[in-house]
Amino acid sequence: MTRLLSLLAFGLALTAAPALAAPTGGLAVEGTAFVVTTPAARLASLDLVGAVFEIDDGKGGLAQVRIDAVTPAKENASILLHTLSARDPKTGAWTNMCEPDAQGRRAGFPLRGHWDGYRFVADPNTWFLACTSGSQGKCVLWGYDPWGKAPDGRPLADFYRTCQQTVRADYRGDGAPHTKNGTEIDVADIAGVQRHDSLSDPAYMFEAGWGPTGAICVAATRWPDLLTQAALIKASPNLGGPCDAAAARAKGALIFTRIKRR
Amino acid sequence: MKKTLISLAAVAALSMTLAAPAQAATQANGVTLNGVTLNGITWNGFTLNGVTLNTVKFNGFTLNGLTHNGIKWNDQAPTGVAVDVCEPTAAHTCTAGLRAIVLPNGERVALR
Repeated sequence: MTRLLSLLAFGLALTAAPALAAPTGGLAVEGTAFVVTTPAARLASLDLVGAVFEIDDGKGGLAQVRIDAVTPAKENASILLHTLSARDPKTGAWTNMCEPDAQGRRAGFPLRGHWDGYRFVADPNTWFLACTSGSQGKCVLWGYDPWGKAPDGRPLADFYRTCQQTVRADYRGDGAPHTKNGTEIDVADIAGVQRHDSLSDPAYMFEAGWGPTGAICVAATRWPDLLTQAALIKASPNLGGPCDAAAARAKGALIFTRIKRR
Repeated sequence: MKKTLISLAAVAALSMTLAAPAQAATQANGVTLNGVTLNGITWNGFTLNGVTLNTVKFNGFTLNGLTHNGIKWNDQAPTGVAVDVCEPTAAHTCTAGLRAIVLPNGERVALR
């Protein structure tokens, strides 16, 4: 469960005076790494372990975020997993900023862009932090780098957007998930980034085809106790009709999912 | 191919179990058991923390990675953030509020 601490929680005010006296540098996000440029040096994430970011909380105080460790992701060594902690201004304690993922990792990374509701916006002038336990980070680990290209050369931004709904079983793309943490899904896509592994396994069945704004069609819901396919189709008739990989692809699906029969 | 699904707890237990002396009794087909990655290994009657895997074949099963026979684990939350120090809004950007960074050597650099 995501817990959002209000910026008010970081109410320890730090004066702005030291900032005025400090040398000026720049920060950029390249891939999944921070790059800090100072008058004397260019430092990337691996050089920044132990560094502390100071972020204006908009309330006159500063939130402090520390880079505790940086390690390549096991899934893809070019993805750098940052162990990040935030300082509680009241107790001084540092708390990991990320929820644990399915492997128990508590890490994340920066990505360029921002979010317009539940839609990723490829804005090179902004960046956000994505943890591996959330869809924003997980979809990058699965190969859908929003700034990257698929093996066939097509941009992956829409695949990244699609993956958000896919991971969370957000069939209508309205932000409402219909899954449970730790649920297994078998993912494939039209670009060859991921391929199904369960096609010959009778324990699995086709769930849905997905596009950037939600499901394209739904053959079965992930957890009928959360939402039945019948109830979904009743509320969203456009998601009904014949639905398998071929039908979904014909309707424009980018990603397909197979799920365990329940 | 029969799909085998084991809990993450069992996966964690696997690493521990494999490192134990009991691993000698398992059939490993010459692959290092405590090296985490099991490619094409057939386990016969191997019990992992109470979960018995009988003639189950792991193909490309990476225990310490995210991929389990190509099957991914999903979650509900978009961000996975436990402590949001940026903008606790839909945008989640950290750009606007960033003021400075204190480098590992103690130097404080104002960020423009």
